[in-house]
Amino acid sequence: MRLWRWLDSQFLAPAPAERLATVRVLTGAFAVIYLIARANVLGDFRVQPGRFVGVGLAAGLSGPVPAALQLAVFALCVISGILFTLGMRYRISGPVFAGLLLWVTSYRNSWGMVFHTDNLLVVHVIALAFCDAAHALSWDARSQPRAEDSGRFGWPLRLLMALTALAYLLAGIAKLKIAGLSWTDGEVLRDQIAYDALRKSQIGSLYSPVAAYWVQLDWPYPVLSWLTLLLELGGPFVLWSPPLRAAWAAGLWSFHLGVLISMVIAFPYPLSGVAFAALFRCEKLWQLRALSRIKRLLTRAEGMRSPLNTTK
Amino acid sequence: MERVRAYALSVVLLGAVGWPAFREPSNDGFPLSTYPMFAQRRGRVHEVVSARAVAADGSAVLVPAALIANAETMQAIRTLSRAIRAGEHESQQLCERIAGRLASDEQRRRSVRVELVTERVDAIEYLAGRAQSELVRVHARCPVSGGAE
Repeated sequence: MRLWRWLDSQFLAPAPAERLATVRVLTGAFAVIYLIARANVLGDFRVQPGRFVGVGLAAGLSGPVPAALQLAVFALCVISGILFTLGMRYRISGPVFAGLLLWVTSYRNSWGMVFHTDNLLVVHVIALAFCDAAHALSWDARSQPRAEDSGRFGWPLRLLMALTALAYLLAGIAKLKIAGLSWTDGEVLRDQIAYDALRKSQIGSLYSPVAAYWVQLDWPYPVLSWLTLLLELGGPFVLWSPPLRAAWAAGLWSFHLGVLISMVIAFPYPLSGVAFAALFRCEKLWQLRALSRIKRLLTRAEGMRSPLNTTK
Repeated sequence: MERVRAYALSVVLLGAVGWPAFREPSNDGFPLSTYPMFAQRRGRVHEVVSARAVAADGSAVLVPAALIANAETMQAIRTLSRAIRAGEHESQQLCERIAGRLASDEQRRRSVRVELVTERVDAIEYLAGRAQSELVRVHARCPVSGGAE
């Protein structure tokens, strides 16, 4: 009983509606921009990129669907993503967007190569789709009175934090399962960077210009390996503390920047910072002059509490 | 009711995302992944696959990812590796698809044939410019129709 009460006090602690809504707006806007920017590989399958092996929602398919149908689903996904971001008919547009995004990314991963760039985004969108993320900064909330701080806006944020920490924890566990603690000797990381540059060079693709120099050095890799493992395994232990989780998010962002520089592998969602929005008082972003106009579009000014006054 | 929804959705999502921790890391999936990237011990010497467009004078250039699969480099590498692993028939089919795309590519009309090859190379020495790759095997060879013979 006491454990339940403690769990409730932590997990269901109140948070401002604006914070969760800001995470929804950021995640939705990121997803829409990402979908449009990567339309050539997410929506266009006129040329089949490999042998079809369905994964995720596409696992039940025995073969690819017509390219025109996939393009139509992709277009619907973008439209529902815009509605999700604006918080329009959210009880419908939220789950619809989550389902379509899962389909579009599953289909993209169904050609023999499973990418790891979309997983966290998809899981976050699913979580946001089934909670009250449109009670502020949304079309739906324009004519409603301002929502009070509540546990129903708090637990989704904690769920997003936990999902983020869990995804990185799994990456750390995989390293320990495959290579053991010897992963930290640095050789695995150095060879990985060299291998990545080599195979990209052999296919005439862009590879990191710094990789060729960097892999000639020995000393950075044990340090970087330890730091990587510490960040990946450490998430669940730092979420309770705002300063620690800020440091954790900054560490992970730096890790992804390092991966981008050394291997030209972009994880756009964490690199954009949006993946970590739930870890911060992100509603403060609306104080930025550049974003205030967007805020006015999303909400009725007199009906909404100013994020300036949120203190939780 | 809100409490039930909070715990039910959290248990379902966290359970689903965490479940792959109990699978073999190589048994990857989407969106529920074991995240095995960068975990494998690879060593320094590799056998890497590539597609080469060979001109009449014997000079060769690498076929870019977009003509093998699509704009994604990793997808192209995987498509190439899969076809070669699957054997002669699939390698030949992929080779012919690439040759077809090359035939309609203005910039590569000079090519007379396509080859899918495996080369062995020490990655670190190669990147430092101290070593060259060594041809191990040609898996498939096919003509480019309309190529400048």
